[in-house]
Amino acid sequence: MAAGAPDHVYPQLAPDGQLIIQRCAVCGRTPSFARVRCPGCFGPLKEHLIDGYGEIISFTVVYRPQSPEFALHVPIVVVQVQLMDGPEIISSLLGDSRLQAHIGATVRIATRETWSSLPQFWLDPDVEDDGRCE
Amino acid sequence: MPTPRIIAQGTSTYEKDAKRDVLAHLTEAAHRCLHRAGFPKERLDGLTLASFGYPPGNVATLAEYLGLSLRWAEHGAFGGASGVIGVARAHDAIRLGQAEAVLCMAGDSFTVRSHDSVVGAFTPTVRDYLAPHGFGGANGLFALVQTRHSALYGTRPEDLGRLAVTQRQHALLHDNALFTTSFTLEDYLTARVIASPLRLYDCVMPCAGAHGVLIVDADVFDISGRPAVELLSHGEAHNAYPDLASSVNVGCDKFASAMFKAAGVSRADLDLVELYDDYPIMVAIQLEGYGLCDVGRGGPFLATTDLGIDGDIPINTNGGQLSCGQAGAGGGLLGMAEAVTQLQGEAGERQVPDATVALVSGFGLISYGKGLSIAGALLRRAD
Repeated sequence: MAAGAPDHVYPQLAPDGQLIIQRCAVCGRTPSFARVRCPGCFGPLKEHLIDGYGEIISFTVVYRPQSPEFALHVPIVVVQVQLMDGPEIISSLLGDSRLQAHIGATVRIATRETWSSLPQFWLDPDVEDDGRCE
Repeated sequence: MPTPRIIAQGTSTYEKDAKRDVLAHLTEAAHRCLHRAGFPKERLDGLTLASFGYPPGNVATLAEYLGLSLRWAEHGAFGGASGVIGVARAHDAIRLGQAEAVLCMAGDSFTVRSHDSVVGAFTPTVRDYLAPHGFGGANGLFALVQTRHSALYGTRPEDLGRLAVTQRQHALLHDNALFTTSFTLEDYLTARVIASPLRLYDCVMPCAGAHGVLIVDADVFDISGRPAVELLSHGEAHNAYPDLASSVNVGCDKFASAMFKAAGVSRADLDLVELYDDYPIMVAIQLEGYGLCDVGRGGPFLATTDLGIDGDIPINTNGGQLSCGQAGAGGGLLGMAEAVTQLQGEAGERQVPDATVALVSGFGLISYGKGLSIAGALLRRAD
């Protein structure tokens, strides 16, 4: 492990397609990225399960990744997502339909064929169209 | 009380493909700065430095390299805000009697590739949460900011493009700018997409360069041979809005009013404005934060204000980073160096007529969705 690398990252993908986030036991804040104590009130943080849905509040289609290792995945659709019952996070979209990303679109956590070490999302219609879920 | 005065700036010759290393650029900038001021190196007792690519080197190892004996030093760790913060801290140190002559420096020697590797681990959250998504570096992050700003306030690419086109016109009058081919608004709007909605002319080119700004106690040194510049006031903010995961508000609104009040100048007194221009959208957002226009009106402000040298509010009068190139941390001192040059009346063809009061701003330290640090300073020609 690289010096300075964190012990844990959040959110994490839960086995059943949910997300594990951190939630403050005192003020209820849900931080965007992992902390040891709540960045609002310094209260203790507990793991908390949420459904893996969210809404796109910003996005960009990246044609030039900052590292050549991601060249295979270009264009990369980077999204800022407001998770339902969770924090605002930055992630990326999977699937051919990702170029249809728009503000207000619903996304759902991707459970397979991901290429990032962090949770990624599908545009929700994409999931329904190709029968990957339900 | 000591009387801090900025008496010179020195800039290395910028290079597109980093022919020389960062120490070569810093040395050239230091030498030119001291030479222009006619100031003896052995009288320096303070140094500030910001450089993204120089670590594990720091301000103390630069003192070793340049052969300086210091009693005060400051290493800037605030991204693009470091240059302005360095000058501000040096000013205050002189005011407090902790130093008499401080050289404030910033620079880097970047190629596109070496810049990419530094940016991928610029802060812990970039390394741990953004880089694993191939986020596109600063381009990707500020593309998110521009998309969000446009969604919230209706900011249009053509408004931002007007700034980019104007800055390029300024660069035509600046012999150290790396990009001196003029382009039209149509060229801007149809250029290659880098990270939507950012296109080619929205993005800075990593390059090699360095700046030095010399600030000394006028009660100790005879500065009568040089036009001097007074730092009237300054402010800074870091992680200004902890619950906001986007740079649509960069936090300069937290200190702007106090800064203008402390300086005893109003926004209408500004003769020129040098704002950190890693992207045109960030200039718009700083204009809002400093109160030069209402929140959300940065786009319309850019569209309806004459930003040229002879205009209503000349912005980024040397072409800014968008046209000079972004010399890493040096980009955070580029606006300060230009403001000093303008207020000293030494800007040549691009001289703003009767330039007396300037606003300078630095911004940066990209992290989770936002730049964490911002710093501003108000400068006035000292008569």
